[in-house]
Amino acid sequence: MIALLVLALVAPLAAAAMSGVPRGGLARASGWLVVAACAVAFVAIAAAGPGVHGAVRWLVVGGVELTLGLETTPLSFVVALVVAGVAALVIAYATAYMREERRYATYFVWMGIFVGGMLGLVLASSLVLFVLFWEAVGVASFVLIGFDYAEPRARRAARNALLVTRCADAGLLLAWILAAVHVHTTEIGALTAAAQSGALPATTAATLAALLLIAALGKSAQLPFSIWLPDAMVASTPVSALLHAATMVVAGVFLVLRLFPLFEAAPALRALLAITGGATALTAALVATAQANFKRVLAWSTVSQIGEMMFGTGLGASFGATEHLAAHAAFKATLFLAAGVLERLAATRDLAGLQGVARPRRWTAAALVIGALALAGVPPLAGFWGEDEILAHAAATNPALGVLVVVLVALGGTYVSRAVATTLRPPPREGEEPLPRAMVIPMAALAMAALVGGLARTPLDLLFEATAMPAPIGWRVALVAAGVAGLAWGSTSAVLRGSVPALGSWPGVIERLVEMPAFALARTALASARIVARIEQALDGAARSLVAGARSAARVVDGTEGVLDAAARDLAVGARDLAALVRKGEDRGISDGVDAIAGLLARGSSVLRHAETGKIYVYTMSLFVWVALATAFILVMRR
Amino acid sequence: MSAVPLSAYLVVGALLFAIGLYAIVAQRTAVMVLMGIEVVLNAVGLNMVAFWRFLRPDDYSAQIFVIAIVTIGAIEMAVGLALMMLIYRSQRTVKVDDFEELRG
Amino acid sequence: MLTTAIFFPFVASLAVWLVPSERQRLARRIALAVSVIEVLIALTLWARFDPSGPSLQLRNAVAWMPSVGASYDVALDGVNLPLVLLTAVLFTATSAYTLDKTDRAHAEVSLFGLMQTGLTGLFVTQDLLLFYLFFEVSLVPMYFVIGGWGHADRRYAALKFFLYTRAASLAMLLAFLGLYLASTPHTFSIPILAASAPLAAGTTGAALAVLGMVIGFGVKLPAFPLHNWLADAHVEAPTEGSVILAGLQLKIGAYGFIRLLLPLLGAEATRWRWIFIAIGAGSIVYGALAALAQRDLKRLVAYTSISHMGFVLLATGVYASTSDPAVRQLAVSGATLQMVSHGLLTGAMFITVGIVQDGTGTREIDALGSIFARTPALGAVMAVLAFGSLGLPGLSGFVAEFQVLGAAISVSVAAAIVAIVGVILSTGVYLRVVSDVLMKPAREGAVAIERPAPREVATGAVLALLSIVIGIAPSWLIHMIEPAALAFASR
Repeated sequence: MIALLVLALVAPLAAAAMSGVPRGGLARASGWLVVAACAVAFVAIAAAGPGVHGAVRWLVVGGVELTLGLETTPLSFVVALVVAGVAALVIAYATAYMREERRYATYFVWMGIFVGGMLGLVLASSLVLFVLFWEAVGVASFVLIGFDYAEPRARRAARNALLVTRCADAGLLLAWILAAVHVHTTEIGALTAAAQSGALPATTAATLAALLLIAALGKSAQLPFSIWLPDAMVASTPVSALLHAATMVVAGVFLVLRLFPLFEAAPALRALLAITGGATALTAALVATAQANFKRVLAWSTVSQIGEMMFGTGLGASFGATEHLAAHAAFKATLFLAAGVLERLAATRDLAGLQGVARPRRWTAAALVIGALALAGVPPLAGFWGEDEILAHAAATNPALGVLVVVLVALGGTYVSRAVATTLRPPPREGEEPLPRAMVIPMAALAMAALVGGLARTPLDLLFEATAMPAPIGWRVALVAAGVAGLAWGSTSAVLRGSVPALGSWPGVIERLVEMPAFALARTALASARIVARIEQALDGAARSLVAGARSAARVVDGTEGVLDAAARDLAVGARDLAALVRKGEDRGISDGVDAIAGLLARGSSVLRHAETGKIYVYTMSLFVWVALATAFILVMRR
Repeated sequence: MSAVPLSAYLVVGALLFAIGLYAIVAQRTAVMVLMGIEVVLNAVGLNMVAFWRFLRPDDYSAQIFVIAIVTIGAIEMAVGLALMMLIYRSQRTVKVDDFEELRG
Repeated sequence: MLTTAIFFPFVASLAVWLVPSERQRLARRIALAVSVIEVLIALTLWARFDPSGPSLQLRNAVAWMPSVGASYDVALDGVNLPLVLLTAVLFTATSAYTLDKTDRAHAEVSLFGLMQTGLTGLFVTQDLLLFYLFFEVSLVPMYFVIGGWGHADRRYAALKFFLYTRAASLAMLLAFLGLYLASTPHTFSIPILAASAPLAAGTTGAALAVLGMVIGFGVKLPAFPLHNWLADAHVEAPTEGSVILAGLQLKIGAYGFIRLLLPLLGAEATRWRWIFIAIGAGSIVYGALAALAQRDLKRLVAYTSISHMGFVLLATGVYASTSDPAVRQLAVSGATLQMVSHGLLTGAMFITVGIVQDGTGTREIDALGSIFARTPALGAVMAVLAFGSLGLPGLSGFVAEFQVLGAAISVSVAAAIVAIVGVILSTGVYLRVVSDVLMKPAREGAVAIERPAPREVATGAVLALLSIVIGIAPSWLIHMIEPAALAFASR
């Protein structure tokens, strides 16, 4: 059983590795290789079923056991299937979409790495693997956003994405270490069990929940970390569809859902979760209505939808949040793939330029409409059921929260219908060649999933052993009505006024406000860096001035030396005068006499020099002669 | 048959010494001078051994002396030959008469 | 055996002087052969080392100056064995990298041989006087390397390096002498001093000794505010010099804190614990911030060393703050692993930066670019190194950092948070490297990087691979360190 999970994890990674190797013609097959791997993963996970668990000990140090393992809880089972399924379809779409790309094989290598990483994240039973794959999908996202790395906007978006998420990841990095030190193991199951049974002290649980919340907010682009996701839309459409709509961004929600017992043990954090989720959902929905770029509408919509999921989880609607996660993956991916088609046709993403492009295209138009209806929560499409559950919990907690959900649905309908209606607005733009089947079929499949996904509700119900709490009928009606009203408003606005923001342009101000904290943080970091550089220069200057000081000290010493020199020179002059005096005295008597002796010695030496013949035998001979004479002398003296 | 007396050894030693001395003084080539030196050293060694054997058989300092002489002789031979080589390289002659650098 | 390992590099490197001065490539090849043999010797030492045995193994103790109390005493334990292996590996890397450098090869090879001897000896010595001796032997040749083979501003950098190191060694020597004089009978032997702890906590003598060691090792670590020599020394040193400087010589300070300060002055160190923690965590942040502001690639990498080594100082502080053996074990194990990991990753990083500099003639990040486009292999290696230095799981940095942070969290959550902030900031630093050096197109008119020699790229790649091996399967290394860490912990 565990082998199937390992297969599911390894297949995309192996496909990625294999895609990286061949050149030329085989490179074209790399996309389909990764698609096949995703399909294999899907089947493997489905076959393994929920309830599989397998872990090995990696290392033990300092009383902490680090493990590596995979498991399928009901939650991870569902999410893994969603990930594998959506990935297979989106990557199939990408094989045609990225046809023109020069580095085709590399693209799919990274797509494969991403899918492997995402599946690993979902299936991990060990915090070590979770953190590893969390970082890995971050890196994959960085590479894929910045894939066209010659383009400065792409580089900047990629860098910002990784930077913002990494700032938030500080929470995860601290949390897993703290958890491992407290529970002495890195198995997530052990951690949740400890939280549920109350073995974890309240402050620890609260700290862990807070840290994990920060990490989740970053990865899922919630406030205050929302800035990176809309900018990441500069990436190619399949990347946006897969990473930034269906899978990676929901990793934050997944984290919260997976480790929910920690939040249950810390009610304050649970409330905070709901508050941030709700606030983000509302803000993002408002901002989405004012976007001028189709993909940015979808991006802010994703932020808003995830906010709703967090909001719902905080209020106790875990099941609803999970349902909505799956539904959102389906309909958001549909909308993104359709957006990609439109971009292909019109070579733009701006709503103004997309007017009427979808009208002649049956499949694309159908996909757009289905996606929009699902997003607006129109029953019986997939989007309704999760919203319903969240609404139920919200209304039960506080009627004002129920109203919030209704408003969110209304706003959702507004922004999505504005965007979709713009593309369907007459006059139709005549298209050229038909779309490749590889692009149409996945889009249609995902639209189908969004359409009939609600049917999966009952089996999911059984799987989660959760009692779904349907909302009271009044609220339900209000929900549907709000959705329909929003759709109507948005499409009317689009048809009548074109791509003007549906609710006015004041949400644009909100967008600016959202960006500010991130910019402020970045500016602070850069300013601190500059201060540090200034300190370094100062230290360097101090060192150099120390050297300069040493040199000037040396010069002072030199000056002293000069004074001493002058004194010595004066002394020398005086001594010389004295000497001259003495010499005059000497010249007469002493030197003449000495000269005579010297002359005698010189003459004597020139005579003796004749003995210096330079011949060795002479010297040797004289040596021995002297030795013999000396010996004789000694012998005589002894007698 | 009577044993060889001490004086015999001493005479032989003296003869060797004289031969060696003659070689040092009279030979024309440098290598032969070195040989003469060797012979002189051996003569001295012979004397030492003779004195030891006949006069002080228990005190073996003479043996140590002889070993020292032999060692030093070997060293001196090595150095001397090396010097000869170098001198040959620069002066192109081995005749002792031609080594006149020390002339005053 | 240990003595052979210590002295073989220098003695064998003298063999190059038998080679005529024109045949410099041959001299380099001899140097490579010597370092490979030294790796084999180091591996033999590892094979002979028994992790479950006594703490000091393969000991070679000979009385050197008995009247003074100094002896030639060298031994292996779990903390210095990884460093001995690291030394052998890094010197092999530099020998391989410089195979084609024909600029006074004989002199450079001899200097590196001397440094290798000094470093190996320093890591295994058990005698303070011998430690001081090897300290000088490993550092003085670097002055000549920087001054003789360095870049434009090398004289200033070499002099600064030398003056800082001199001051450090004097402070350290004074601390050693303090310990020596306080012990009865006077001895320089580390195991005896550790067991007898001659300087009691709270006395002026102990405080001064700790101060001396902090200055001495803090300069080498380098810890803020004694770190100013590092950037200039690294930037002006030739590539092979930087690799040894960052990869090994910084470990002298780190090793000193762990292996000398804590065992010999442990009680007094506990009174200083918050200073260690503060400066350690602060260095992590400071180094990252300083790196962020740099425009010169090599200077950037130099400052990241301050950040990484801060972890060791943090671990020292954590160790001194607690008596829980599990936490202490994590601290020592994490610090040792961080030393090895940083040596591999930053050493390889300097090699790749050297390749970039040689290929383009510049280190300015604004002028560099297109590394992925033109030399994908080099780009891939640099990217792996950058992500490894970030602490990405799968490379050695992660294993080291989580251990230190795990220990730190048990003592001071605030310090752990500061350290994490530093890690996040270093993300910005490395992302800048990847984005602006590897990805961004190079400036118009900038010299394009030619195909670098495969051998040079392979050297960096091998070191990166070692880091990956440690990152994925660290058990063998932790197993090596563990008994020593436990011995520490139980003191």
